[in-house]
Amino acid sequence: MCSPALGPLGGNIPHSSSRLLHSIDPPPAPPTLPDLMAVDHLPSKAAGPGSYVNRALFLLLIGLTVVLFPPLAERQPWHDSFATYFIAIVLEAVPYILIGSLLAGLIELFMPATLLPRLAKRLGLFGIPATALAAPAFPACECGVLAVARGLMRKGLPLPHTVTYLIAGPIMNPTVLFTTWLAFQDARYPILRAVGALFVAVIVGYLLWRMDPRKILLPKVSDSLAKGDDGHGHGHQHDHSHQHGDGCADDCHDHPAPLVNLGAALKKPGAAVVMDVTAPVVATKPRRSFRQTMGQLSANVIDHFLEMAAFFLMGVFIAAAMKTYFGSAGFSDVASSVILAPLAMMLLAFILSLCAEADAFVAASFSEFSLAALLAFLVFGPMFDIKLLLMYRVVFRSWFIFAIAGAMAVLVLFYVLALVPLLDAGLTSMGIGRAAL
Amino acid sequence: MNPARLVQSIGWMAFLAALLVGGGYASYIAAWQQWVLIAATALFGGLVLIDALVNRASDHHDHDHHDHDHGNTTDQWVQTLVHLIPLFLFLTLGVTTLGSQPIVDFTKPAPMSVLTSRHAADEKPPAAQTPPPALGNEQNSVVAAPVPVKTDTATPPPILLDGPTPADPTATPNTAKDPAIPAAVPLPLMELYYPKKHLGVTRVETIGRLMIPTQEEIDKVPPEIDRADLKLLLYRYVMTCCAADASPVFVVLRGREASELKVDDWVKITGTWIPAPGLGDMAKIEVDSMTVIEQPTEPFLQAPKE
Repeated sequence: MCSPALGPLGGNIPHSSSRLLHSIDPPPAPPTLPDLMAVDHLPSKAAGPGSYVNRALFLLLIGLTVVLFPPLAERQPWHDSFATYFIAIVLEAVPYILIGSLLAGLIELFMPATLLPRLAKRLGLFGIPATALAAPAFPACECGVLAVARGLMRKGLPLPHTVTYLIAGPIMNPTVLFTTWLAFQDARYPILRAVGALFVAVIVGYLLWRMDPRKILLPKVSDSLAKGDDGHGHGHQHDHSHQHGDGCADDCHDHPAPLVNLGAALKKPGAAVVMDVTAPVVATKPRRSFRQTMGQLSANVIDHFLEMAAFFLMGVFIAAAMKTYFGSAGFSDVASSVILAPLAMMLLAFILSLCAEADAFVAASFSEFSLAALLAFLVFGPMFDIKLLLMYRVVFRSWFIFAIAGAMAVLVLFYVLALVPLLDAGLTSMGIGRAAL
Repeated sequence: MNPARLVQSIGWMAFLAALLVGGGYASYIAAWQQWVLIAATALFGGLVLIDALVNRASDHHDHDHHDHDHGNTTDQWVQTLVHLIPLFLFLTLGVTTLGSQPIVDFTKPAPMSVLTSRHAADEKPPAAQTPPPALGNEQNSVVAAPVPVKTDTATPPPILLDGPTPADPTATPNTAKDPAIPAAVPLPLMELYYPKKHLGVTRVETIGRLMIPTQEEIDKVPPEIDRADLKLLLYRYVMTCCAADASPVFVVLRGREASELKVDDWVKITGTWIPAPGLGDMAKIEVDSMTVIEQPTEPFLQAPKE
């Protein structure tokens, strides 16, 4: 039995009625999933179309592996190339996915459940740029950032803020910016790369401001967040009779409460109900033993890792195949085109699926391309590539993945063609350039 | 821990441990990544152990209660097979490395060309006249050349052994008997790419793999490069983080018939170095001796970090 009292979806019922609620217009912060789902719960499907697609994709991947690499068959040169690319990307990325999963697990266990929603509420519209600027506080490369983002979202970070972090995080990583400078020996590249990441992330965040997260997130993710799942995962809405282990009979769970009921309000456009942020936080003090904490942390981290790794491997498989058969052949032909060059470099970044910490060195080899085209490669690559496309399927609906990819491509193109020349002129006039550092 | 999840975890542990213990990781990731990988493997192993010990009695994750997509049993086992793909490839193919198959343009400057300007600007003559070490797997070490220093960087160093190929293809000129022939300086292939580095060095010893350009590839070569020389190339990949970002660097080999040789063989070359006149041009080696060797334990060169 768990105490304190649980709401209909398993979150703690707020102990202070003062936390509920005022009607205002317009809403100062986007709703979080617990908000939306608290009343207006959409049932999920145990095996929706998405899961069938995933199963088909996984089976196709397994079949291709067996057909292309039959044991004891004569070895072809491309076997070595493919396996080298595949295993190299896996070995390079696995530690960072694991670190991201660990960070997500720690966030879920130890970050106060009300902290992020309150911050988002207090900052209002400034919360989006603040999230992008604060991304280095949760440093993760593009392989690990999804796990961290999911952990933040579980703790109530609104979806627009989460996506902003997801986009800006890999580039705002100090290591990535340093290696960018290292590759080019030119301070303009890391500066313009960071500005580009902030530009795209903030605009996408605002574009999502009023969108319903349930239409963006997979049903199982929406359901989980609405249940106030803290990573330990007990939604308490469903009937389950598993053992909690010794000492877990009390309130050993740190259930985040659904802070606000927006479901009804959203049915009336322009109106919303928000939490009273001045009210004291009623925290459920977890009373876990060290053993329970470690058990919970390990289960969370392994779950995060294994779930993302399956989709990651699918993306790496495609990326390795593309690198083996196509590489960067033909891309240099469009280097002189103002429009096509950035587009080609974005496509190349998508195909190559390089780690953000290494992609600058590859970009630097394309010396025939302009600053704008190289920045298109550097800004777009960590936001969206083949492996990320597959990893995003862990959390987001397919339409949203393609929509956000298109939006990011357009924004990056606009940035490198319209803003980079201006910013570059400004930086150059300030003496920032190749010899500046 | 449910069986599918346990098999997935064991599969990952076996894959990571096999590459770490056997040293195969060096064919895939940069040396500095080794420690990251070791730490990650230890972390993952520890978590799996804790999960198995602490959560074993609580049936902790046998039900679908949160957004982790455990799915049904069929899905779990399908995903398990996906998790085993890295281990399957490793067991099927062993430790692999990149050959000439993915190379599409051998005239393209290497990525670290951006660092070349800094190297080229550093035109201080080598101060220490230490004897060159043996050319092992530590290919990034740069040694001082035990030869007189030339200050005219615009002119290529004199070719001291621009003669016919020795009768014995593996023979090395006896420098002890002929003081006019300087000792070969072991240099990684990457270092031969820099036109103004190692000034004064004429004879070099290096390791790489052989590539015989096809006529189609030669036809694509820019006109400023002498196509007549492009019979045989020595290449080696340089990586920054992992093999996925690796790019090959090349030198042209003179004095050997390509027909005698096998593509992608690892060879040790001793000969006279003719540096490229400029960045993006191809350096040459007039081959004195060529020995087929085993693949080094670190087949990739590491890009300079600073």
